[in-house]
Amino acid sequence: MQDLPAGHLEQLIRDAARGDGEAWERLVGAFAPRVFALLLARCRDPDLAEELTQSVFVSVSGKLAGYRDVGRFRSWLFQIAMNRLRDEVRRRGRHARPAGGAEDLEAVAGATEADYQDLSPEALGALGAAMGGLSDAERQLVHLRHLAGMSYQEIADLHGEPVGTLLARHHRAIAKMRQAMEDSGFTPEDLQ
Amino acid sequence: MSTTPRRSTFAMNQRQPHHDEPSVDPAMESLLGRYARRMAHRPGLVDRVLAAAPAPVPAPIRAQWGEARRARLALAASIVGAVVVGMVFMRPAPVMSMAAAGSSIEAEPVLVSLLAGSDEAVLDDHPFGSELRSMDSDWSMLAEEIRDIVAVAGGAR
Repeated sequence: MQDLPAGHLEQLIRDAARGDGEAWERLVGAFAPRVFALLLARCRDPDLAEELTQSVFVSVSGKLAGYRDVGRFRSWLFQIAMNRLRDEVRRRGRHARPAGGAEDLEAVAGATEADYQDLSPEALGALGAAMGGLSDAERQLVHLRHLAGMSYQEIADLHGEPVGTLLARHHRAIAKMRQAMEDSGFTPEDLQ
Repeated sequence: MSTTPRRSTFAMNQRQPHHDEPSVDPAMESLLGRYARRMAHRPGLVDRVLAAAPAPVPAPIRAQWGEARRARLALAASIVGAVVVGMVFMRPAPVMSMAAAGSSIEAEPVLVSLLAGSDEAVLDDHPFGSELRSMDSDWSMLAEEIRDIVAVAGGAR
């Protein structure tokens, strides 16, 4: 995942909207992995997450020329992603599975040995178990904040909740996860 | 007590773009950052997304398409208008109107003759039906007069 320099995003959006293929590629390169990670964490199905990611960007491509809401691109993009997922879940007549434990996370990640260089299976398992202990609202906030890379203000715009409420919820979620990991014999510092 | 201020100071120094609040737990944040990279890892994802979602259509082309559509709509509207106007002016005028527009010498007998077909024919509060039938019992003449007047009116138009 590559982070765009501050202030660069709006220019990139304008260029892409004018049909600049290179700008569009950079925009997709910057955000498709984040959209995929968010959808994967929510639906636990890599193929569905990728299918929905493609659908999200097809939609963004069609609407970007008319995009005028400067400064809220992330909120707009991830709102489209969440709506796509909700529609798909409704269409299939089932609910997205909530985040589960270690085995679930490893299965979802579909990782090879090389993929674990950045995060060991143990760390992934401990984190998965800790995340499984969160409420859905807390888990969604952690996903939006850390997988989608959204700011609290952007999440507040997305959910229509006060920033202070989100800050308190996030603080509580992180504390819960730390406690759960320590209870199972891991500390985040050990996993660095 | 002493760890929280140090964490906040560290987090402020590590503040990321678009993240509007420093972390209260850098170790957890770091772990979650690696988790995010792990979850986002999908070989070939960006290429497949780019193949499925082409770059947005440039605005000028969209404008041209809009103008072309407006031109097509204007053309269709003018054709429909022409057809409607043509239907109005090509429609045969009623015999009464043609008679009124024609010469008074020819029109009046026809008008009277037409009315004479009915007992209710009344002109100036006077029933003409029976009188006309007695005056002109040969109805073939009336038909001939009608044909003449229609021919005159058609020729004038």
